[in-house]
This record gives sequence, C-alpha cells and structure tokens, in this order.
Amino acid sequence: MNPQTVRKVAAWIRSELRVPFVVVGGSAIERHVSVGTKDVDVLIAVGDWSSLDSALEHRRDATPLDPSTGTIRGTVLMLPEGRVDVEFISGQPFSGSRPGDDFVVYVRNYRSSISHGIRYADEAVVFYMRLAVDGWEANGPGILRDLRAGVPGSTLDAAVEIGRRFGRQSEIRERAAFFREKAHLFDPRRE
Amino acid sequence: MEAAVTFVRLGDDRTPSVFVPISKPKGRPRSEFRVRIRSEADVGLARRSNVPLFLLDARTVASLGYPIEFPSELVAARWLVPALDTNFRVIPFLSDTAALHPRFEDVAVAMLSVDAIGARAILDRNRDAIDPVYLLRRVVQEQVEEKATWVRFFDLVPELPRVGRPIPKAALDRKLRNNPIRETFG
Repeated sequence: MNPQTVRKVAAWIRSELRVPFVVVGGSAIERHVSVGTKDVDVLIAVGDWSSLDSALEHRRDATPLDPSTGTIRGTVLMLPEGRVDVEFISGQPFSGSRPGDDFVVYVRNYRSSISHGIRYADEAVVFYMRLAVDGWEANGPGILRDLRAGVPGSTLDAAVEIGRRFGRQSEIRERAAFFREKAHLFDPRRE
Repeated sequence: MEAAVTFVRLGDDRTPSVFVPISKPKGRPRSEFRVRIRSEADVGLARRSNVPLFLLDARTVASLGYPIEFPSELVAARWLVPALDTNFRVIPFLSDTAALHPRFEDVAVAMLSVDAIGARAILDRNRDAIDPVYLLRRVVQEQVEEKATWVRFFDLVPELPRVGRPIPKAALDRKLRNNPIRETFG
C-alpha cells in the first residue's frame, strides 16, 4: 500500500472517528522501505473501543467493527481508490506484566515519531508486536519480508529490548532468535 | 560389498555429541563416527559442524505462511543418509548445498514430500522472493517434477517440465483458501 493511502486512512480516523492512534504493522515499516503491506494497522487505548464502536455504527463509508469484541477488530473503509482493511489493536496483550495501556503510552512517548501529522511506531515496535502474540510464527512472512526488504537485523534486538521492559524478554528473545536463524532462507547464496 | 559412509575426526578437536563412534574390535581406536539426530538441538549441533541437513518442521513452514501441524522431518544430503542414525523420517536431497544452506524454495521442494499444497502455498505467499531459475533447477535436480506439476508450480515458473496431471486451478485455489495465512500484523 502506498504511503499516500496510509495518510488518507490516518486522516479519516482522526477527523471522522476522533480517537488517538499510532500507525503500526507493515504501514509503519512502509514509511522507510517498500514492503507491500495490504492493510493499515493502528494501535489504540483500551478505553477507546466504545467511542470507535459508536463512530462506526452507521457510517456509509466503513463497516462496523468485526468481531464485536476482542483486542484486534477491523473495519473495511471505502476510499475512492478502493477498499482498505483497517485493523484496530488495543495495547493490553503487549503490556505483559504492566497495566493494560502502558504499552500504548510507551509507544507514544518513546517509540514513535510524527510524519505528515501522523504518529508512526518505530520498526522495533512492529517487530515486538508480531513476536508477542499467540501464533507468532504466522507473522513470519511479514518479519522475513521486512528483513529482506532492508529493515536491519538489529531491529530484532531492539524488539527484545522492548520485551524486557514489559517482562517478556526471554520469550521474545527466543522468537527473535528463531527468525534470525530463518533469515538464511532468503539469503541470495546459490549453488 | 557395499559402500559405507562414515565421518572421521581431523586433529584433536572436541567432537560434538551428535557424532557417535562406530564400535570397533577391542583394542582398535575409535576413529569413525555416525551422526545421531534425535532432537532439534541435535540438528543445530550437526549444522554447526557443516553436516548438510536441516529440520523441516511446522514452525518453519508456518513462518513461511502455511500454518500446519506435522511431525518434523529431516532433510539430508542423500550421500549422508547411510551415516545417519535418526528417528525422524528422512527426505534425501541430491544437492548437499541445498541441505546445508536451504533457501525457502528448498523448503518448498522438501514440502512436496509432506504436503504438496503447502509447498505451493509457501511459494505463493513469498512470491516476491522467488528465484524462478533456482526453483526450476531444484525441482529438476531433485526429480520432483510430477509432484510440482500436480500443484501447478508451472504457474510460477512456466519453463518447468510438466510430468503427469495438474490439479485444476479452481480446486487448488479452494485448497489454498482453506488454509489462509494468519498474519496478525501484516
């Protein structure tokens, strides 16, 4: 997805849904290297779910959040250039041993930057989130794709550092090591 | 008479535990070894000693975009197989370079022996990284053209020789849809 579309989606969230958010996932990586992400993921505070539900309830340009509960819920936004899947993610699964929104606060304060008026998470945040979820292996294509596209391997180390802050260092380290080891699958060595 | 494959120690380096001495008549020095692989850790030890093998496991395959459960299998250079002592099922590779330095195309080629639809899914879900020339050479080298034809590798590499009948495109698409990629944050 091109960065202009991400900016359009972000502008829509800000003006129409009116909740604070940080762009995460492949769209945050896309700002630095082209990785071909297909949707837009945004991180929000736990307390903003009800505002979002209300804002999306009767819109013509977007579907209600699906599923109806959970920590990852999506809408489909109709833009003139086509449909865009937008996933809203609340921070509590990533806060580990700390209170639910600590991760969101941490990202906002220390691990993100603003570009064109939109707050984007650092690459390390994106990698940490991918490594921190149940079924983390399924995020392999994204991690391996981003490493292949030029995201530095040290981003995995930075993700482990974020894990340390939230009491999840050992599991994140093990998972990062797995992907570091698998990076050879895309090594350009030939017979 | 038959040819035997064994490993020998060069110099006085410490021998990793995966190298198990072959018993010799009493009084003769133990200088020949087999490779014993019982666990993922053994695979890592052997690979660090440049033994051409790798583990084809569910976690690796999931990380390439195909979530599936299956008992891990050992991919090993074919010449190495007689020297292996393992409880894993073994997939022999003619290319020892591919067994030692596998690329994701090699994982797909090995997956043809486990789950051919999975092999195709791995290629589809990493399509931007496929090296068609490498894939063509590997399919031909490992003589898996029939399985590759069945799951229509030729859609991705038209030059691939077709052997046997392919699954209809619509049926393949249906099977791939039944095992969707489950990325949380693409």
